Amino acid sequence: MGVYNIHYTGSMPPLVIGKTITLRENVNSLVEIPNTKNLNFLVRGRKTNFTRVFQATPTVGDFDSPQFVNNKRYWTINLTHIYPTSSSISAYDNQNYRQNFGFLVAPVMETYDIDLYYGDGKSLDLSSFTKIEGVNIVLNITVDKDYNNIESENPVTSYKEYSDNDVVDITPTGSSGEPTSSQEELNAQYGTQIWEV
Amino acid sequence: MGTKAKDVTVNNDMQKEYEDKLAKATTDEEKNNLSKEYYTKIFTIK
Repeated sequence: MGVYNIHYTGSMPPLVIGKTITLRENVNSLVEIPNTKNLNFLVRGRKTNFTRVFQATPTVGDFDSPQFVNNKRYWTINLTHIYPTSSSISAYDNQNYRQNFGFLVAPVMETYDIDLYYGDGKSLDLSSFTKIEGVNIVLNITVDKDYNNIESENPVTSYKEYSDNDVVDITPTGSSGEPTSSQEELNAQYGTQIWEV
Repeated sequence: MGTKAKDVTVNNDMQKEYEDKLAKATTDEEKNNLSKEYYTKIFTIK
């Protein structure tokens, strides 16, 4: 239910590759589950339709035995975004880092709608997970033009017009956490941005 | 709802070591243990 921002600005130390934020979400009012379940995020970009599933980073413990610190008002859930340079995309935008490290490598200057799923064990296959209805997280990721360290590697976006306007929400199937290109149709929808690296 | 963004720092040497070992690992259990072992060695969040 919260709205969050990740903003890249100024100069970034050379070894910093992204940012982690702590979401505070009132999960207890939506579902009664122990705080030791595995949580998956399903993110979908509003402009690009860029879609990924990745693990939420626990606030205590590790991905094999996660624990999310919580009270009656909110759960603390960590979300890690890796800045999408061409090298970080090739290194981290894959099932291993989404599943075992909780990384999201996704376009910046984009607003994401995020759903939350819970289940047991590390998996990105949402068919074995249950959606927590009513979470509706919004994440806005922006970058300043003076973000000097990696600006030259920024992926670019462009618009292309198509006659078939049928952008649809998709939920990736399978275990990779990534939809097939035919499902996602990043380059075949009227009004979506095209993300090129 | 305010939250402070923390930097994620990578240790490139450790990451290379992890990738090398991961390429040699044959079972899922082995790969999982490597991921668990190297997560805090490769990445620092602060």
